[in-house]
Amino acid sequence: MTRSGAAAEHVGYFHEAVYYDSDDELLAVVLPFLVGGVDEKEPTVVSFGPEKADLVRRALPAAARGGVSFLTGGSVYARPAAAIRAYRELLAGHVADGAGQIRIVGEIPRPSLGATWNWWARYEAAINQAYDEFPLWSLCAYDTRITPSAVLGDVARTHPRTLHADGQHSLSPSYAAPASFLSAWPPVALDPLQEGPPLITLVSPTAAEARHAVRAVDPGLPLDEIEELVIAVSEVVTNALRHGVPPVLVRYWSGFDRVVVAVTDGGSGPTDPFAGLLPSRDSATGGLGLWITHQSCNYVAFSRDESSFTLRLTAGNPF
Amino acid sequence: MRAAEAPAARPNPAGRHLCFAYADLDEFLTRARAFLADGRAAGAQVRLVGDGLPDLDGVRAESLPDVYDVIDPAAQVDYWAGALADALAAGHSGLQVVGEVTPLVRSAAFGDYEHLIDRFIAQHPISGLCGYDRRVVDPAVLAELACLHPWHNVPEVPFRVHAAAGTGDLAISGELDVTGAAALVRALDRVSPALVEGELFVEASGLDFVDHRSLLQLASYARGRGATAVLRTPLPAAARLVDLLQVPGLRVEAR
Repeated sequence: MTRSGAAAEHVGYFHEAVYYDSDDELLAVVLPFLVGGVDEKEPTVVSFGPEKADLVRRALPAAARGGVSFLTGGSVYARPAAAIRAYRELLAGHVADGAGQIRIVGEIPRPSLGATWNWWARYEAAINQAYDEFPLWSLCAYDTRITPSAVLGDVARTHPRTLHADGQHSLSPSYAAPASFLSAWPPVALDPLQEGPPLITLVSPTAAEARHAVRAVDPGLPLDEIEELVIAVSEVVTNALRHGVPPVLVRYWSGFDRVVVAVTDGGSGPTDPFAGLLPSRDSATGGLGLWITHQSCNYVAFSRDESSFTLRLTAGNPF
Repeated sequence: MRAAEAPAARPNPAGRHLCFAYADLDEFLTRARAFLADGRAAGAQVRLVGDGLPDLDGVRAESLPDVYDVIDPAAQVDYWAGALADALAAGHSGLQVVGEVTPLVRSAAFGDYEHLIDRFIAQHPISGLCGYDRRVVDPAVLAELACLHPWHNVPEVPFRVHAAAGTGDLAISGELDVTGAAALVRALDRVSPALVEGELFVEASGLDFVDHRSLLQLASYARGRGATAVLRTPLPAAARLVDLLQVPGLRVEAR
């Protein structure tokens, strides 16, 4: 099975960032990428929000349109661990069907470049490993007009390559190996709710006590969101009690649109830099519980200081 | 099993089977008195079994050896089936029994008996309150025995593996998480639920929480018997976790 285009000689995941500041610039990069994929009969996928997807669909030559599949609606990019799971299933399916290469162009939706960027940065780093078993060539598009500069810095550190509007490919000088990027533990901004006192503080509770307290602070979020947070709190508290260093402190805040739970223990957190993002079958180390947690919350943030490790979980609208 | 042939099932036959662990005998006697009063009010024959117990409101305490000989689970269920038949024949609506069973815990077969009588109670008008002295019974053993009752007061084991009222099918209620993990495995081994065409149905309408470890355990138990476990529960979390984990040997029926 052969690969085509810039990734022709590459083994594994060929991960490129694309920076654009106009629709024309975006199309200048994306159209040749897609048409090339269709010409080579490679599975060719666009994973954009509805507006950008329309833009691309209208601009594609008629002959290529039928060969491109569109994943729209934003559900793929709802949560990083869910995106990894969905893409890995998609990729495995294409490889099983005999694909020599899969091409995907995608864009993380704008809201994720704000409050929840931290876990999307972890996503961009982790997929260098998570997709490396597949012959994937992907472009990750970033609109420089709306992307904060700190986010652009992370994009450069997590994408080994850049594809420019003139068609040139270059290596990213600031690229960091995923394990090293993920182990750097940059500080995470507090949710403003955390500036007030917690509604409930539990010290080394059982998992059941920690679960029941979620319902006590629920401001009336949709039942599914609360149920998912209950699953996550149970997993995180179980992990902290088993693998962390006591005491385990569990604090709860709620606002009109969200619930925030912070679980702190005296340990240093998971040793696996990919914890939570990559599928794990290992229940013994807490890896599977952390992965389920990432599938069950609208935001998960890790933070670490000299004496403790904190996992913060958010249901509702992350701030 | 002969027991099942005993009194014919009635329209509303299911009794109650309760485990009451206590650290203070007076606390147990208060509970026992109320349980016997309930039975009397419902027209049931009432009996009190236990060594060294005082008579309660005119009910004479029978000694354990008089009622529980050597613990042979099936024979013991037959004994209660016969006693129930006699009570019904005498015009009572059923049978309501308080047993202080702490000394019986020494018998390895007692857990099997607790489950077998639970299945009988679920389909017949007989109720039992089983008393266990926490000061005497090893906590792990108490957890194992308590979780075989549809109701118990032992917080160390936050779930129940019991017979569904009316049908006698396997039911799991309460909360399944790491706290009760070891007891769950032993309970499943003990009750050895019947398979129906390669499927092991678990009535879980009374399940309040289940974590991924417990689901994996259930699946592993089912696979060990060459079967698929079917968890019947309306809990969205169960369906969601099973979908995420894609575990062979387990599916959820939402109901």
